[in-house]
Amino acid sequence: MKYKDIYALDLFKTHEEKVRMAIRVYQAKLFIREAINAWLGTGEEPILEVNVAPSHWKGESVLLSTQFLIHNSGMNPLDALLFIDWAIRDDAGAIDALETWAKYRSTPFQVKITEDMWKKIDPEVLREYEKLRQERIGKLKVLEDAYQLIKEEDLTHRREGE
Amino acid sequence: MDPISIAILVIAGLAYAINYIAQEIELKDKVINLLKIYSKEITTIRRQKMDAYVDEPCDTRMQQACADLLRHEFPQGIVKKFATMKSLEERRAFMADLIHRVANVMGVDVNEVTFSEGQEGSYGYYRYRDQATGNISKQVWMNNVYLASEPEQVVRTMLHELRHGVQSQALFETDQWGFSARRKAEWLSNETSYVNCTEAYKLQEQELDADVFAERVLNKVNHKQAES
Repeated sequence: MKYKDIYALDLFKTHEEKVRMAIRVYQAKLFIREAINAWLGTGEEPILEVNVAPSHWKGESVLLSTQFLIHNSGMNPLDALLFIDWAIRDDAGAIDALETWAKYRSTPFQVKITEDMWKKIDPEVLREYEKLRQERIGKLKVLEDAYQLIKEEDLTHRREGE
Repeated sequence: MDPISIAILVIAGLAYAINYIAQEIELKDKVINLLKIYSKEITTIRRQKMDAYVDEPCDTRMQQACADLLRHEFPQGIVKKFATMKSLEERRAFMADLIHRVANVMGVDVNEVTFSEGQEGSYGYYRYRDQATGNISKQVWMNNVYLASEPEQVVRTMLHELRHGVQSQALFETDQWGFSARRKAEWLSNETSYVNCTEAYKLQEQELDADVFAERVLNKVNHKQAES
């Protein structure tokens, strides 16, 4: 599997989301990418677990598994694997997010904005929104350049230092 | 071709090749930097953003009004209050009433509050528009499952969901609260760039804003209760 196969997954809706996720997978550790590769190849639920022991827990630890994240936290397999990748990099940050995730297990909020609703938005807000949009386009350009560079690479390709 | 022309062509070719390689290296650096930037963002930005989230005057007023009401409702704390209500029906009636009263002090409209056995893993939601009909619905839904077992989370979810109502009304109706244009633009930006993954979800402006609001209200409530 290649990074362009991540882009093509129907888990993501927008071009930006697809590019971001392909790059996010590129950023993952090799064994995570191998697990994603296997999941994409076979469709079988990944089984991976890591021991997490944030320093502020003073010796306490918890076993974080993909099964827990998929079946208890409601993540899809890709999210679960990327979450494990995050937990390895920064266990305290990941656990904090998981706890917050558990606290706010609400359906993500989104409103589909109709043409009529756009017309009701204050012009000053729209001007600020346009500034933010331009900032985002600038950031997306860097992401797109990076994606072009990696899209043909195999997920399991071992990079220098891995 | 004379030697000078050949030399010029070679130099031009070399310059092109060097420029091309430099661009490739620059791109590669961008990818490597991206790796570092993204990791930093994911590991720290959410907490940093929550801690650094600057309340606008209307935020402070809204938090205080909610905290005052909740302190009055829960003088001994949320868990103890819920413990006095034995049946699920009693808890549902209490929460439905509380949601309307908290919405009232926040100045947000709630047309309908519903409770049902929902999917495990979801405490509730706020719907500004009905997904099926497209009509403005302003509906709060709470999951019965947690009403029985996790009252503190139910109250937290109520605050979080009602804040989504404030965001929508401030954007698409009259902003009676006086949020800054920048704040509303950030919410709007969130609406148009929704990212469907766990990590990114936690960085969505509207979710972050709703989390911060609920956290700060409950901090005010708990702080006062700890003092008394």
